[in-house]
Amino acid sequence: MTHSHSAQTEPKKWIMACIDDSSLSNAVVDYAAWLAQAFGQPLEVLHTLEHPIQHNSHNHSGNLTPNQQEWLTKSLSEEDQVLNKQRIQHGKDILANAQLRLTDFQQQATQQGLNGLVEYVTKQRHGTLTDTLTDLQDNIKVLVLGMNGTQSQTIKDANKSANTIGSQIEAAIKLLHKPVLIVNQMFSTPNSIMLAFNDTPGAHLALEMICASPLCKTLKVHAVHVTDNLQKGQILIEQARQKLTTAGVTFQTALLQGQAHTALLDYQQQHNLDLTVMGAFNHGKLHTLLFGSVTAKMLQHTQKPLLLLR
Amino acid sequence: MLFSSTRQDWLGNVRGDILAGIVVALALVPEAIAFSIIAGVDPKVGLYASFAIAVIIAIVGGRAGMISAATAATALLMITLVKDHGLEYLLAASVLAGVLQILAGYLNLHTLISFISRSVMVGFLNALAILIFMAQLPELTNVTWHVYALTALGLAIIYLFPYVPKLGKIIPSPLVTIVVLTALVVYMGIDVRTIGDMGELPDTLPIFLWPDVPMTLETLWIILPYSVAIAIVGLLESLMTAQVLDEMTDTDSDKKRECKGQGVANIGSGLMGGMAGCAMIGQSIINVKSGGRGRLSTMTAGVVLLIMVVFVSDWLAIIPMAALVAVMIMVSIGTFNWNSIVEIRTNPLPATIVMLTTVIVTVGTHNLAFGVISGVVLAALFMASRLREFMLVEKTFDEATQTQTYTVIGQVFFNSTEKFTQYFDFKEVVDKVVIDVHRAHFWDISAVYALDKVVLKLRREGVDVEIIGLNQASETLMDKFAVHDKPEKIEKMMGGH
Repeated sequence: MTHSHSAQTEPKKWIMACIDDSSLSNAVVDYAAWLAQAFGQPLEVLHTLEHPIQHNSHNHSGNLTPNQQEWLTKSLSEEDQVLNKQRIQHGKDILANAQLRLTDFQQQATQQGLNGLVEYVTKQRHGTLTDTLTDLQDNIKVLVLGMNGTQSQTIKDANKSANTIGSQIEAAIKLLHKPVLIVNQMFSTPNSIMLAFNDTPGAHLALEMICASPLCKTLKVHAVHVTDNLQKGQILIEQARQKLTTAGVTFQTALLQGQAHTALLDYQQQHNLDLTVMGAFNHGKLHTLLFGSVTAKMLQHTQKPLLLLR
Repeated sequence: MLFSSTRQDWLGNVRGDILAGIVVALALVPEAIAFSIIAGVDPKVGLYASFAIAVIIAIVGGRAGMISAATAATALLMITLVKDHGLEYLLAASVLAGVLQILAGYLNLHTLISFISRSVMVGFLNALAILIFMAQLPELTNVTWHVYALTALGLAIIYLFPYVPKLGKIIPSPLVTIVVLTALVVYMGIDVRTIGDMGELPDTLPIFLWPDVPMTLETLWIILPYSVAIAIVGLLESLMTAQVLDEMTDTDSDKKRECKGQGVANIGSGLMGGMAGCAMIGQSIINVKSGGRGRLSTMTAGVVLLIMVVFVSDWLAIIPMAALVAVMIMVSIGTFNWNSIVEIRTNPLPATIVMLTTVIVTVGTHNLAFGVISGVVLAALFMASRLREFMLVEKTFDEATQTQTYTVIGQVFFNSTEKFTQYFDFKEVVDKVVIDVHRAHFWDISAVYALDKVVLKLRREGVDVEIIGLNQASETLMDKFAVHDKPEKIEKMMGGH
């Protein structure tokens, strides 16, 4: 009883899908809807209005006329007003498209006799993605982002073949102590999950989440651990096995050797697994500097969506 | 913290920042020389300072796109130090000012800027403009008519050249002024004072050197008053300029970091043979106008300034002072808030008095800190006297019980206690007096003391006195509890209105 009381005072938590012009936005909405449906959580589709510096007037006259400050403030704010009205309208178009997809999603769910989304809204906010996430973090249950993020227009991808990671994604994940789903392909309903498991709080959190989630009763889970210390690895895997069995999840385990990200990706390809769940950025700054971050490497090379937990 | 910055801060606006930085650098050269002359040092001191401060603040500053360099505001404070003790003491004072500014940053003194009202800020800018103009007067007195003609021509070019189609928006008009006037003077062989006559120009890159002063307490006592003044004035102008830019570009800045950054920049300047400086409102506006927004614009301004100065110092020497004076008059006109003159008719009188006091005290003392402090104190006094109006005591008499009820409403504090006492009629003979204070706010001990006095006096006249609602009223004694961010408490306190 006391628990439900305290839940009321907490802010409402949303599955938060951040979209922009990028080609992945539809997929972001779809995956977010899938998550929201599975967890029975409300869904918010968010479009952030970034304010890049734009120059319509080039004035290098370099002089100061009387009341320059007032004049400049006025003309700059008028310029911004016009630009922001355009940006807002553009964002509204993107959000209207998302709204349509969600309405379809609802209809299909009803036709199939499934529970649809409990609630879905679309919103716009001014500011960069990181600023927005800082402001909203208490209202986020799971964040859903496209791989080539909200900045794909401003950061020219030099190497198109490798995954281009939106410049803000890593910052967003590190900033937000919330699960983040990174979407990098068109939506297809996940049937199997790879749980990249190790002895870190993030990984244990991922295991807990899988055990608790109703969704995972319908999915096949592969708990995978990569280590060169097989003895210790065996113990870890055993832990995971016990928890998953108790929770009644269909699963299999694997103990792999070698470099973490290559071993994981090879395994994922072999078994054709649809989604990776893992703890993210667990190691300290020094460790990451020396050995590189497994999370960053997975982000760079994986072909499948990643659910990262901190 | 001090060094953190995003990619966007530096590379979000490369083209705009570099072009704007060059425009600013061109205008910084004459200013740095002019401010060196104000302080009474060689032009190279101001030029090295402007380079060092701009480059360092680009990295450690809290407001991207703001231009800091040698300034008039700080130069004005150094005159007697340089005259009495020489350059090395000035360098030491600059370093110490920087240390004090870093300290101010750590002590969160930037929050004090909220005491500076708009009137004080306008007064500050107007005073600064007047001081910059006055500093040009020595160049305009006891000179031949050539100087007046050249200055007038220079001003005409500065204001009219931007109207030239295409070129006017590409080539900075202060640069055109300098080139045209220099060419004219050289070609026609006019004998007027040039920058070369004012002292040594830089011919090498700046080098790190510890100021050559005895490291004694005596030295500290000599430089400390100057360092304190420089630190205060530097932070004042920097924080005000940051506010102006925040508003102008609709972006935020980190004021605490700006304080510490100004400190680091001044230490760097002092160690590179430069004088202390701060943010420059005029140059920062020019930067924004030219399209500069990021840290790169400030960095470019500093680097380009140094390149120009070191490699063309021979050419700098032949620039006539008249060209410099014209540029500085432009800066003065641009800094002055001309609307404030028109607003005198519409603004409330206290606002005008605060603004004018700030200007008069500053111009009189040549110290912007004194002007600002007088303005702030005056504004606070006006505020207190206006708050006194928000207090009254209502009187109701009940025949049956012979009871006089005084209901106190509003703000009771040191400035309104006399008025409070006057509401009570001690001569009237009644059986009982009830003082209802639940809608009053007793702000300080003066107010509590005044209430005590009233009660005592009434009792002395043979009246039974009862105070009701004292708990609510005395809760407003700010020293006893903190209201910080508790809406229900604020609500309760304001309930009296």
